Amino acid sequence: MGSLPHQPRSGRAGQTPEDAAHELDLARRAKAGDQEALSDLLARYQDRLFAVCFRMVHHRELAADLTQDALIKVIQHIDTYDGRSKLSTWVIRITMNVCLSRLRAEKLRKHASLEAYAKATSKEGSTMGAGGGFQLRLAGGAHAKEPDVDVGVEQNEQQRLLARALDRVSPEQRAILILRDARGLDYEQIAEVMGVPGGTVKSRIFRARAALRQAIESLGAVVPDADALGRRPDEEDGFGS
Amino acid sequence: MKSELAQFGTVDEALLAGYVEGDLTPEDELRVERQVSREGMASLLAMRADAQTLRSMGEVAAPAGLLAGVADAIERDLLLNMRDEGEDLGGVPAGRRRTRHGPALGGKFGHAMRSRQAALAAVLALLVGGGALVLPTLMRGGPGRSGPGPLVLAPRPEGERDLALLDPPVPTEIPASGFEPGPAHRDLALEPAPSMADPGAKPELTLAQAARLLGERRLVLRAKATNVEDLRSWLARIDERGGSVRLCEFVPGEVAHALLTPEPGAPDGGAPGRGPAPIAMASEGEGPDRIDLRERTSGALVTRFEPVVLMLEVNAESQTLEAALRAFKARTGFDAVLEEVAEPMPLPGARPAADELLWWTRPASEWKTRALLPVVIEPPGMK
Repeated sequence: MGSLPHQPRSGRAGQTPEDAAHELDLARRAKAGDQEALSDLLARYQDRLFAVCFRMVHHRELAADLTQDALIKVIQHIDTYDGRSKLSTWVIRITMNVCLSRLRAEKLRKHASLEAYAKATSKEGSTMGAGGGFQLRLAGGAHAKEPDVDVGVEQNEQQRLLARALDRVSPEQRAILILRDARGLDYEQIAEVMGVPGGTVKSRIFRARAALRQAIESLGAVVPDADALGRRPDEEDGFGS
Repeated sequence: MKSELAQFGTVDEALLAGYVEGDLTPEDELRVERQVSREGMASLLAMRADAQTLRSMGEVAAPAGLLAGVADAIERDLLLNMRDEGEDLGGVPAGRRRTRHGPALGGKFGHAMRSRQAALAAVLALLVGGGALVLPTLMRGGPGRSGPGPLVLAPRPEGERDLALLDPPVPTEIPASGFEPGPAHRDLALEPAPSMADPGAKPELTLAQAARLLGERRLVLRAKATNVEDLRSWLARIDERGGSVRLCEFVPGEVAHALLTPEPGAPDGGAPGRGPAPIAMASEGEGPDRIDLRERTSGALVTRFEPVVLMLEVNAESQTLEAALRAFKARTGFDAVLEEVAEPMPLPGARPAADELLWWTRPASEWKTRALLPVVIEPPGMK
């Protein structure tokens, strides 16, 4: 058994029952047309949603834009909230959909521009083949206009490294990790937000963790030996190696 | 990825996930540790550390003004929808509607919003027109060189009452004013206009005209008080309760200066509106262009102070102005007057408060044009 201490779920999304009840009441009132309640709801959620968006894109302006889009969708669709899920889950689902849609669109756009660049280069009879030099130029061109990953808010090197690595995993995997670790959602909520079967959430989370670990290592981080991570000597015989 | 996962052998991924999160039974943990290679175990423990790092990342606060941006975006959305509604009338299929944020506003709010679009069109026209004028005017810093006044819309909060009713007269240094909001005064409100009689040749200023001037940033309320701080705190309390009147913290220096500086040649310090003063008073004293409820004499103790200018954000409508006159009189014991200013003052646009952000979702009947009304407070001795 690994001896690295476990932190309890952060509970950022885990509200007290009183908070949840109050928010549900606000949602009911908002549905009934109480604008004050809707305003209150938006104010309560803006930080949480911005945090989700920021962790997804690591770019302040883009995150603000996405948060605004999400809040607008909340306003537009508050009357469709049926109360079957927690309000916070419903709101985060909207937000995550906004983020994922944007990131998918960006990916398509980037892909299209890369293809166009490759075609143009090919027509020009470039001496560069499909090898390293071409790849280098493509990589430079493709990333030149992309916003840098904003890791300035992270407190230490480990967090900055993780933020960079998060940017390298797929948006869906990033989303799952953010929901689980940064927002503290349980498996059921994650299934609901991501629109995936509940039974697949754990394996998806594990694959996302593995992808993140791979990204961290590709950034130069060394995997510490299990002993260095605190395995006790008496656990050694469990390895079977 | 497959090679990354290969180090975990045939162990179920859900079990591995549980191991990383530490929520397995001791038996399951032991099972994992027996079946996973040493490298795999190192990775699992590193993943556990990654998860903790991710949890330890602090919250990121939303930038200021995010909700205001939401309101702006929704206004733009509504504008686009309105434009497309117009296109629909012209035979363009509804499917061509453009919205900035996905589908057209739907559901209850969307329906309600669409039903208000005609009213909103007028509202936004004012908003856009006013907004376009406010900033350049402020940047130039010059009075009287802009067009119509800045009109910022805000809802009339529910339960809003006559200003005079919001805060009934309280004992101050001044004797009771004698104003009691009641049926008699409601009757008075139904009269065509308060008496603005003046022996001068100019036509009387009606409340309706005053409301129009307010929208044009050409209206000033002049009041007398024995204690300006008392008056200020009273206005602030009204603000806290929400209502048709809100005390603004900022008074443009240029406006205050112009309103407090007697014009040359005025025998009583308040000259008739002549000459090229930055903000020329069309009338002063008992001039013909003021709404003047006859001043009462008062035996009150007066706290001497220099005249000051306060700024109120009010609904630009005659009822609010009338209520304001009554309330000032009730509060101070002195008649307040509304004065016309010859040229528009360089007043900024009022910003809706947080609770007014969603004014556009309220019934159109509750939408009110808001405008800034400078209030000159003078000690009773001044003319």
